[in-house]
Amino acid sequence: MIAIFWVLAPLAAASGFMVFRFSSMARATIALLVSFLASGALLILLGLGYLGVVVILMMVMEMIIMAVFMIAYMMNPAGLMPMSMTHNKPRARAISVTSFLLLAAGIFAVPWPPRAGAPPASPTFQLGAALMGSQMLTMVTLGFVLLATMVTAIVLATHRGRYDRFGDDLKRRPAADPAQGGVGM
Amino acid sequence: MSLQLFLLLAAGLFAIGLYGALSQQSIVMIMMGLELMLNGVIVAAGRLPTGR
Repeated sequence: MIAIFWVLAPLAAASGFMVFRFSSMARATIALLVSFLASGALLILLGLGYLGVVVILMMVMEMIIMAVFMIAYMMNPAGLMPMSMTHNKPRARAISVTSFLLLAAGIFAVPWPPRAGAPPASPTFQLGAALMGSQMLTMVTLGFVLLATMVTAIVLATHRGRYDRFGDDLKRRPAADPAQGGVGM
Repeated sequence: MSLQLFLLLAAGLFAIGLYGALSQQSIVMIMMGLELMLNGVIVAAGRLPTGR
């Protein structure tokens, strides 16, 4: 147990550190993913199996989406042209080190109490019962609201489609655009 | 495993994320810093309820 901790904890911290050292955006995203995977594995090590698996699954999906955004929208996604997208590094470093030292001092100064009470028998089962039982209506409504939001966003974003540009048979040339010279002339 | 070790890891992740969130200029990288801070909170929240 303690040996696995000493593998996972430095891995989580070091890959978290590397997020802001890598120039390549894809590498930075994967470093953050490694950090999350290590802490998810630590949660599993603590006996919080459900929570650990949720963190791992959620963060794998999130980092895939994040990598697409990073590569699509960053100015220098591959890190091939050296450029700095940072500001005020010395003060940020000072604030970060100070907050770490304060937190560490607090961690060792506070007399942490032992566990009060016993853990519930099966927290995962209880969570499932709460979500699928009393909160079922909330979750179903939430699902439809999210779906309606996505459809509405796409409809609003594409109010001029190809049929508006090229006519009903898609044969109009040039396209009827407010400003001429676009794609698909 | 001791509570202090876990909380120390959580504090380290939080501080690294804080550095990123303060020093990065693009919104996506600031998000990465915030995520790292969240990672620290997750580690601490996973260990704290079991006490010393």
